Amino acid sequence: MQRAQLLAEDAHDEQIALHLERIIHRVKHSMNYRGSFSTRDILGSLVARWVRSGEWERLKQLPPEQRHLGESVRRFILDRIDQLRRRGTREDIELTEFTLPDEPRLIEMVELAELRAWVSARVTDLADGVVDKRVVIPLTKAEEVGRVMQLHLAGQNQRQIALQLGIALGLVNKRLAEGTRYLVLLQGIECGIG
Amino acid sequence: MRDRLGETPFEDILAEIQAHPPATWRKLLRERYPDDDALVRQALIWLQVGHGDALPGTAPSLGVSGERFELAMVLDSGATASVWKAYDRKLGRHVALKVFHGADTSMIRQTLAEARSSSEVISEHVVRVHDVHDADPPFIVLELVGEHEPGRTSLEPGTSAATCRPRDIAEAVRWVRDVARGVHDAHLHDVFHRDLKPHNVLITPVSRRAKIADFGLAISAATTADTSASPSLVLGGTTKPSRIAGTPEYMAPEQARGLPLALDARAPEDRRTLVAVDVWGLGALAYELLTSTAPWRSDGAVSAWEVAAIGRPLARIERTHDGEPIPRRLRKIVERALAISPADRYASAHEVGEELDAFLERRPTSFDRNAAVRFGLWVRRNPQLTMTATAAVLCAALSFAAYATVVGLRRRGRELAAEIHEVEADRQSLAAKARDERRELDETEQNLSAQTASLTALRRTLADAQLEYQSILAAKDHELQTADAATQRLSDQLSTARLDRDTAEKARALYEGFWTRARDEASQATADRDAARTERDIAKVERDQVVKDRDAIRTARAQAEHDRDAARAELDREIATRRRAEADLSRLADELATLCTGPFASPPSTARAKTVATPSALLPQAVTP
Repeated sequence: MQRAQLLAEDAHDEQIALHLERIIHRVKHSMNYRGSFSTRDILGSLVARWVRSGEWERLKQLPPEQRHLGESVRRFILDRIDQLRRRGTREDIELTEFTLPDEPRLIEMVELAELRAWVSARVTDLADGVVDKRVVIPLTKAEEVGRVMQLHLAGQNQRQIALQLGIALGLVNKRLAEGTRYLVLLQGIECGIG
Repeated sequence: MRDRLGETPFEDILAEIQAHPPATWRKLLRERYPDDDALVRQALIWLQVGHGDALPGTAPSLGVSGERFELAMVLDSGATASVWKAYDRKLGRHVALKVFHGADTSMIRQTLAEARSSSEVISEHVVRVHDVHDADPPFIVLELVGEHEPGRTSLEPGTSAATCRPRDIAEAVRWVRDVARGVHDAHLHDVFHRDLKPHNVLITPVSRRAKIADFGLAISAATTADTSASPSLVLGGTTKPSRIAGTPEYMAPEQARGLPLALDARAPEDRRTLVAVDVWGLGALAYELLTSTAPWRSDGAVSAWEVAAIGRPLARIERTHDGEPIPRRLRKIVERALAISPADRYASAHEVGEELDAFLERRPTSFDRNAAVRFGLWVRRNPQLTMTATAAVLCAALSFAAYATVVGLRRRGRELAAEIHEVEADRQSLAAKARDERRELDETEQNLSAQTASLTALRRTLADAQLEYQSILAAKDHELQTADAATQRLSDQLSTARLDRDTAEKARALYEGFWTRARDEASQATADRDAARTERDIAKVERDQVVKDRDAIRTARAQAEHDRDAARAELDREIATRRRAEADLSRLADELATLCTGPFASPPSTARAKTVATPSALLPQAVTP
């Protein structure tokens, strides 16, 4: 609501501000790889893998009533756990039962997974020095921003990133902030509010 | 972009605008860029994201509590909450406020659960909870972990161990020990953290002590498991639904595979499970502080959570991130805390703290059973006492050595005096002996002069004998050469004779071979002849048998011909009989026809006449011979 007040010139602006609030929350959540996880997050990470497998792209070609989203995700997760069991030496890694959230929440998880994939792709672009042409805010040192963001997404903390790239801790924080702002801005542009 | 936006870097322009109240940002941007709506919109979004929260005037509204708490600066910001340094006007003290984003039911429930869990723990190593507000927005009032730096009046807030790294191994161990004590205090109050990691450990800025924060995932007797909205996952063949909670990089393997949804913090079995998880957390914290690396890491194909769930033993940690070798005693403690099987870990956080304390104070840990190691540790623990004792022992040893040396020298002096006396006596007796020897030597010299003359004559005789010997030797040499030539000739003849003998030997062997083969062939011919005779006899017997069989066949053929002739005769008889019968039948037919043509005869039927006209049809078929 704070941001809503800041951006609101009229009711329409308030709606836009709420949308932006949601975008900020979603982008930050998708980048929060080092945070605490719950079962939902674990399922979310498995759903992200499912999206990356290309199955979601295939299902999107089908009419909604023929997609059977839950069944496809369930099958994928069972396969993945089975792979884990074969990969490890522990016999007790065997998924015997699990409950998936209902369809709307599952779709929300799929959207979040798509957002993660999108974030990852944009960060790779940044690391290659490619800045989206629609962004008019200048981004200095896009490659460095991209590299810092890549390491952050890989689960490294600021200190580790600073050590690895040989830059100051404060600069790492600055680059992370710039990268986050860039991603939120790009999402805003794609949603039509930027 | 710099040309379009002017000479001032855009970053500085945004920073300048950001310093103003947020409500004026749009106006300021429009004034600066009146013709660029897109830039204004994007700049507004840019300003809203990230650190905009930390600026004055952008702090979250605390409702009625806003009058009591004055928010000063943001300390940390996460996905679900942000932590603020604030001033409590009512009590006149600085506090930390953890303000949650959103005010839905689940968020308020989470806030209350976290506040209840951490408020139950009273420990100098745990951040204390002063109060909790479950209104919109929900927030927790926490002890501000901070200290006054020397010479400064402002309170400096602490930082998390994730950003404030330990200066050396000892400091890392001190932090983990402090956390272990705090965790143990929490366990005593039936509170289990379940999410220990550097991010949840705060370090005071001056004294650099560690305190545990963030009991967001803690389990306590006061909290109840919320199973309604949470998706569940069952791993490990158990039938109980499980829930995964924690940070994948630091999770215990069993935690990554899911802990039962309904855990009772007071039930002994569940307590053991929860204690083991927190002991692992302490090990993971030590691992990260020492190596700057989390225990579990994603390798791209497999996520950190999946690596934790697979639960392969961790690689041995030999050196810190800076390359400093990690002491073996410390490594063993960390490895035991990070044992894959919960049963192999320390039984309590207290044990971990005690072990780390022992390591820091150079006391024996549970791994130091060797007496030499224990003595070494005692020495390192008591350096002054050791030095004093060592000095005393050295002095005593030196004194004893000096006394022994003096006594020895005196005894040696006496021995030397006796030796000198003896040597003088020996010298006098030797002088007398020398005089006698000189006299004997002179006499021997005179004898030698006389013997030299006789030797000269003897040498002359010897020279003559040698000349004679050499002439004899030359004659003998000539004879020897002649004999050698003769020997050579004989040797050549012998070689020729040997060659002849070898040729004869070969011829004899060849002849013997021929003779042997001839004998073998003769034997073979004899055997073949005997075999031919035997075959001839068998052929004779077979021929006789064939003759016999031929005769028998001839007899049988004669008999068959006889039978055939008899059969032919019989056939002829039969034919004759048949012909007679046909003649009789013809005759009878004629008689019958005569009778039918009489005055009393009825007209003959055509069928009957036809039947009578062919009497042979009544007879059997002719037998073909």
